[in-house]
Amino acid sequence: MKIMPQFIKDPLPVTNLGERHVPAVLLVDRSGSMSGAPIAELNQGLIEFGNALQEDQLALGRAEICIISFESNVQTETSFRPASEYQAPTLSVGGLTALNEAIEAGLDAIEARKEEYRSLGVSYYRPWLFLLTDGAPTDTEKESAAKSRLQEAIRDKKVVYMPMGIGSADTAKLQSYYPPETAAKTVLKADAAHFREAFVWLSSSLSVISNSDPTMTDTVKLPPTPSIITVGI
Amino acid sequence: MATYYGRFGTRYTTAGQLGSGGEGTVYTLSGYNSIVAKIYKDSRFPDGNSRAVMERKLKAMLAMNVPYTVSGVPRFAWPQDILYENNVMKGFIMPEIHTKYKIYDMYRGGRNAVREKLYPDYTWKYSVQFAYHLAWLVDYLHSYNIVIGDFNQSNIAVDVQSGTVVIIDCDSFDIRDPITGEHFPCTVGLPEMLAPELQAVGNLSQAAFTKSSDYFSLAIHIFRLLMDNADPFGGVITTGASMSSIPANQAICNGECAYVRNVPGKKIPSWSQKPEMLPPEILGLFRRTFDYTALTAKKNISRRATAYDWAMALQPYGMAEPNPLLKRCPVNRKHVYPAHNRRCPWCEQEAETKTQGKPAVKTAADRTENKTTDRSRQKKKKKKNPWPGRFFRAAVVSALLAAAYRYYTVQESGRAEKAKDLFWEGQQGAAISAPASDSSVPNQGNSAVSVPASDSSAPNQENSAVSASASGSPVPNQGNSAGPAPASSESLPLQELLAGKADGSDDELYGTAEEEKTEYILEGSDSRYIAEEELYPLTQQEIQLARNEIYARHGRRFDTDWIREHFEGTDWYTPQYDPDYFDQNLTAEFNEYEKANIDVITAYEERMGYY
Repeated sequence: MKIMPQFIKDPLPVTNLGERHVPAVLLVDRSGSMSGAPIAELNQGLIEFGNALQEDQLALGRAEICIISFESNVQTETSFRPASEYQAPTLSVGGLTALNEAIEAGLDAIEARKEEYRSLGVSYYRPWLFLLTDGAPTDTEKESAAKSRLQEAIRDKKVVYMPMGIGSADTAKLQSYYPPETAAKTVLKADAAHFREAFVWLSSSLSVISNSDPTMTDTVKLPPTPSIITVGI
Repeated sequence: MATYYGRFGTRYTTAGQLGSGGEGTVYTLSGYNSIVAKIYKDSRFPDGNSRAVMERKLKAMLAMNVPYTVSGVPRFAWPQDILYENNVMKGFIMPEIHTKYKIYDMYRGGRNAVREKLYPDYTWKYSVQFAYHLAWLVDYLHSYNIVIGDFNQSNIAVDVQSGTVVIIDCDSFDIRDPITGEHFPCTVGLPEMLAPELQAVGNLSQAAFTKSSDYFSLAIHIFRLLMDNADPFGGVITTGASMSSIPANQAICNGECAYVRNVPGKKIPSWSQKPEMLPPEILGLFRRTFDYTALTAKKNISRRATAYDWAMALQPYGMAEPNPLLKRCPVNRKHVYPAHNRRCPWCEQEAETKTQGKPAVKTAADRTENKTTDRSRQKKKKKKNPWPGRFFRAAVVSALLAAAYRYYTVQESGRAEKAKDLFWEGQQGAAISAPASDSSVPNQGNSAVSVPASDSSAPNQENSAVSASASGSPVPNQGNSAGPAPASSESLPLQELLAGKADGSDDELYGTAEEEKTEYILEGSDSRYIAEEELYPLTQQEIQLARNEIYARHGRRFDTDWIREHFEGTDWYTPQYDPDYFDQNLTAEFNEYEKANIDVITAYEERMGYY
């Protein structure tokens, strides 16, 4: 397993060790192309996300959030910590869009946290990888590696990929990171008004009352949300 | 704001929104302050028939006329009226439950926990009391032939003011119409709470929720309350299998509860309370419910502890203090625990949690150490990777207490003392001297040769021992009159012992001890009577070894791998006799101590459900 130390710097200890956790990584774009309204929208969205977290106390005790930002470089804003400790960062823009490197970093961070769960005997739901971007990566030389790693992780049910478009996002680009065979290549629109849906999805994925086959709960069943953009293959 | 009409034309107008869930929204009503309205979302009823069924179910619930208020407190949000809009059933009226707290807020401990804010003096006794209330409530509902079904942690509210639990979402209950006899089954459930017989059902709308399946969920709630929010089916996977490759509910299907039985490849997390902390009769109820395998799951259903069993077993521990069944830790007054514990299990847990530094690295080291049989390698390792187990620490603490205690005896009687070796004999009662066997002996596989590096491993207890010494009073908190000294006699000057710790010469001290250890779990089980109290701190595996130790002294061989490996790792064991031959011909050689001790251990194992 590959652990990149800079992405596991000072994570906070896991709380509520006896409960099933859901780790979530937010990959947030703060490249130059995000300047102006998009970054303001993103910063507001991160605050909304925190507010939405507070509304579900069960999920608040089980979710863990890690925020990784990217421009020319990839930077961990906050390492994994209980959702109850969530603090929205304020991001400024500048630089290129190392989106692919950020995907690798996010998957690494998830692997590291999972290893910690295992050693503590903490069970977990499938991790979430949120990608908030206007969708124009510049590190294209890393794209095929990052893409195939993410696609494999999605196929192996190791991660739930949840791209969220900001501003006039390149939806087709974000969808291309899904495995080709995925039927519903969901891309959420991440404007401030709809941002909390991201967490509603996250929290309902762990408190959803199942009346279907309970052994199949690792397939994500989500309630309908009005702002989905679903495009067929 | 919307207006609905009740069954007999009562007009209800919604005011504010209280909350919204997957299947409906709850509103306050203008002009009413003790009732609220739950209005279903239209998506709740995919067809007209499902809406009609729910309407009949609500009518049946009204006809049942169950007293939902007991001693002036609502205990569950039972429907009071049915709400219609244009003659279409839209929802129902129910009593308002004045709380936003849920039972999981009582599971969760720690500094910032909600329960600490609600009850600054929250102790384990509160957890017992909530558990009692919950068991009582289940029993009450069952007495009306109501099955809760979807008995999950979000459906159990905690009424802080009255200190009771309240079940919400009654419309999912499994009930029968008292007049028509129509059965309205529960069709939803949260997988992590479901009994094994329901886990296998493909579609829960076909599932048969029963009182027994409620008992299973009830036991999970009680386990989390009493065991500091541990998951009874959780644990550290020691096989190295990827956790994500294990289906979420496999543990419940297979009965992988490491707290009540030895589950291969799974061990209790080090941060968790040990099941032996629980009163034996309560642990016994957990055994009846959780001790099964995939093969015996069905057969085991009828064995489950009932809500009545739980209520009866919990009630004595929930009584007000002074309660002879409870002890309060002399060091931390917020630590309350069952009186059979010789040491404060919460202090031990805290000491354990503090050592949770870099768990990922530690685990890797643990695995290596477990696999190796090379002692010298372990010796080298021990300084780098001190075993952080509470077990060993407990042994050290008990030895310190024992030493302090004996220090008085010796000073008073003026007898001479022998130092270090006796210190180590003193801890034999508690510390297993396990050889480097594989991980089949969880929790202590490498304890004997590891060294606790942190001097602060259990500062509280050490301090209490010291202060006791200074004031000349007996060592506090020993609990039983037998005193703290497990097995041996004589003493070690306390100052010397503590000085040794203070100047960092632990390794030397412990190193010496390692050479001299005799590697018995129960020292002298062939030459003295073992008291049952000596078994309390031991794990199930240790007790098993302690019993077999008596046979091993006579040279019996063992078929079970981990037992054989344990004894082969000791200095004193000489395997001579085939097990069958020995059992048929040589058990008569046991002396009266040995016979009596086998009986004591066997009886204890039976009572604890280890057989």
